[in-house]
Amino acid sequence: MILQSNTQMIDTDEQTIWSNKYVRFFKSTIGIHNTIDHMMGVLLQSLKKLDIAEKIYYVHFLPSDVAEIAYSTDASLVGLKIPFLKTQDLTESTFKVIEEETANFSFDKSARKVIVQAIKTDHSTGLLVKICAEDANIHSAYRYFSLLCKIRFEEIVSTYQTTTDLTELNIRFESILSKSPIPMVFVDESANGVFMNTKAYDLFGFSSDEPVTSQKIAEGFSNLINKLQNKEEVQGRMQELMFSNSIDRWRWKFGLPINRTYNVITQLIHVNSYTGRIWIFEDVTIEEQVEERLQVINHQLIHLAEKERRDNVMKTTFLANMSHEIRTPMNGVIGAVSLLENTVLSNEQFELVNIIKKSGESLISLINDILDYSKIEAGELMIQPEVFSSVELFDDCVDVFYATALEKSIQLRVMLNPNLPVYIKADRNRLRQIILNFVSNAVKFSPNGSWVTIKVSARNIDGKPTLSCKVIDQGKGIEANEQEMIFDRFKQVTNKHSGGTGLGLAICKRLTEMMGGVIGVKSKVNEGAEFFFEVPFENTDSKPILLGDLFTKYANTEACIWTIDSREAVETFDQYFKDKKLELVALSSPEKFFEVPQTPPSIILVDSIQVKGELEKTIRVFRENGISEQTPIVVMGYSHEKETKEYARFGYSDMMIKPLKLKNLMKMVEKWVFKTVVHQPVQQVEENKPQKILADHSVLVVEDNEFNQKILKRILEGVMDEFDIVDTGEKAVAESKNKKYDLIFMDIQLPGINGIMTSKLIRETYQDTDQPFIIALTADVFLKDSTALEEAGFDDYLPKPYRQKEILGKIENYLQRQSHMVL
Amino acid sequence: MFETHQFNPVLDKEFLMENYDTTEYLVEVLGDFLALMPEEIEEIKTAQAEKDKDTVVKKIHAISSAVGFVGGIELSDRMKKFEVKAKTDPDFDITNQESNALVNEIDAFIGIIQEEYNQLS
Repeated sequence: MILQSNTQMIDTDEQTIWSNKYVRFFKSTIGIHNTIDHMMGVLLQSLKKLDIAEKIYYVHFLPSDVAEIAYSTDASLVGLKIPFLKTQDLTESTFKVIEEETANFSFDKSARKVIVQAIKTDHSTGLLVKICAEDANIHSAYRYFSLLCKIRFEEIVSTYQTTTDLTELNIRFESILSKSPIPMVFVDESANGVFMNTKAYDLFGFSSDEPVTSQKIAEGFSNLINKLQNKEEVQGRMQELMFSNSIDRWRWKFGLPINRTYNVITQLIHVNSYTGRIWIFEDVTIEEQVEERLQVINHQLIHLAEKERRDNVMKTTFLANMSHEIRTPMNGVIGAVSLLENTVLSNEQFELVNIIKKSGESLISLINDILDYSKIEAGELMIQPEVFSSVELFDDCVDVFYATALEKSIQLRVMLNPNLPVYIKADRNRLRQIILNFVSNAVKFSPNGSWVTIKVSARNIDGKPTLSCKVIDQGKGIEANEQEMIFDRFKQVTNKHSGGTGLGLAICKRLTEMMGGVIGVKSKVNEGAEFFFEVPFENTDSKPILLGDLFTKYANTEACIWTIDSREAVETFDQYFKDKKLELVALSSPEKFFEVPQTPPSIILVDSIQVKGELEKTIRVFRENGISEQTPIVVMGYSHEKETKEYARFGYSDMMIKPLKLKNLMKMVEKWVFKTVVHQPVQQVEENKPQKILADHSVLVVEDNEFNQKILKRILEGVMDEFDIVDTGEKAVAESKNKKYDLIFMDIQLPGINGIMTSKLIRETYQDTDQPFIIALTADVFLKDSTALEEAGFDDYLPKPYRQKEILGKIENYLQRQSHMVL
Repeated sequence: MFETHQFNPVLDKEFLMENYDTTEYLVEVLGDFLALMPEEIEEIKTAQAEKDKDTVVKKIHAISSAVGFVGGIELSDRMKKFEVKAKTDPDFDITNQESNALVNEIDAFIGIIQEEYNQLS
């Protein structure tokens, strides 16, 4: 875990926003204050003018018998002008007299003349009532001044009202500023106007009843700065105020007894022509303490993260060392088993050796899993795409579980969609790791006798070819809540005693994500589970060879395969025979084949599990119903040696070893269907013989027996002008270094290094993308059903004595079709 | 063509018809067989006399496919079975009756091929 240093965790911008609000607030207050001052000035001027006008009016124009009374709309008396002697004082008694007189000026129109004028200002309305004797002489000048008075009066009322409102607002603003928890100081440019709120008083140490002046504030600042812990820094920065309006991030740190830290914001304020500087002291003591604490925690975390990283490195190193220590002897075991494999062994011994080898490899794979997770955690695992055979990948994965599946009678099948490219580019080892994990879990949690199906297809997601793989089991299923956490590391569900590290699915998830794919599970309790992943891959060619393309050669092969098998098994292969003349008829018992007319079979496949121990009877039913000995009956079963011995007496023709794999079926079809469909006239064979169009291809024959050389030479001469023949493995390797071969026919039993070793050495001399097709030619009965040939890198094999048609078929497959069929 | 030719029953006529489309071709193959095999069978007999099991088994393996190529499919299969037995049984006696019978049978087979060669050519 890596942490960033976190010294900026307190958002100073946030503080500045608040300070700016205060500054604006203060500016508003000053503005209002100024406005009030201005209004007061206007009011005073108006009053002054009115006073002069009144004096003129009263002295010169107001008749002695006219009185003026102004009322506001709430009937309160706001003005009164009555004639009185200049020497007469305006006292309470005078007002009383006036009121009485006003009362006398009742609206008795017979005795008095009443003039009523409405007054409207921005803030109030009222009535100006002029009352006079009916015979009063109202001079025109009086009328003018009366009007003037009215205007002045309105002006006064309006200004007064505004001033009152503003003063109230100003009081409220000043009250807010005074009660603000943030100390604020304002000193105007002339140093005459100052403001300090209560908190500023406290900070500066002034008593509340003490009047403040600019001089006093200057002394206060000086005292304050002297108490600072960072006095020198503050004083230094104070100089900046000479050149700038404000200072950013200015911390004033007080030690005891104040023991506070302030973020000081100072700013020049210009309102109209009024200028001053405001000081705001934001208390950031707590924030700073938090900051300091966070810094300490951050340092601790960085230290811990570094320690964890070192521990991880140590752990990874330890695991790598341990894995190496375990892998070294395991490699010894596997190496020894490989040597043992090349010695003379019975079929059963061979299978057992094969199981030891596969299991050893699986153990190494497990060790690698642990190492991989450590590498993933440490970010050291890299995705390494390579070109590989998709068929081989999935078949290999199924082979690993041969023994386990056999033990639990679980039927494993791989359903490869014909749309799958034969060769893809992706990280083969990581995909294998995921598939093995899925299949391992499926086999582990599936009940005896059930099916585990691997469905593989290619599809396009967002323009990218994507490998889609589902591993479907018939186990107990997984609860919905468990599905969510099943890909978390160290989590195992359902059966706590199932073994394993609990890392498997977590690794799968991480690997899938690293490859840009998705992973998941669908399941219902008691209905099994479907684990799936989808991973993008690259095609090796703009028009890749699809698996279905490999079956086009069967398009015109008129043959029929009868099979007694389960629905699941037939599904596995049926998709490949669609639209082909090669027919697949699947029924559950031998008798059913004879209930309705069927196309005569070229080969009969019988699943030993499906007929449940009645193999002898099954074969007899076929033979007794007219199926001649010429039609091969191939038994499909798990155990080779045991069942071979047991079934030998029943008269079966061949055995196909389960798990069900496409290549196994194709091998049988190649071997038996091609053999059985050659009952055609030789003339027809001649027509089908490939023409000599193979001039661009080079072929090598490795065969020590002179007679066999001649046989093969004659066949090849029919389809190509040039090819090379050598009689030892050593010569073949040397030739391969000098010349690029497209196809090699390899005898296995050679003097010197054998054909298997020769093939391995030849493979090493070619680039991965430039490998020749190598077909084993063997009379060795041990090898024909073993995986040794595949593992040695052979693409195919033909048993001796082979037929001309078989050789030509291989040439057609591999050279004319330019497809690399993995069989 | 040799479709009407009556082959010795030990030969798989179907195999021969399938593999060799003309009589000339078949005769050529049979001729090659006859040119090489007598020497091979003599070497087997010598190795057998010397109880050189390894050489006997290797030679049997080597010529088993040649025997098959000239139609001796059934004999070729038995030679393979013999090879398996000899390889898997460390105590297998290369001079035992079964071994001798097989060598004699191969010898006789060469004679049959010689007859066929004579008839066809």
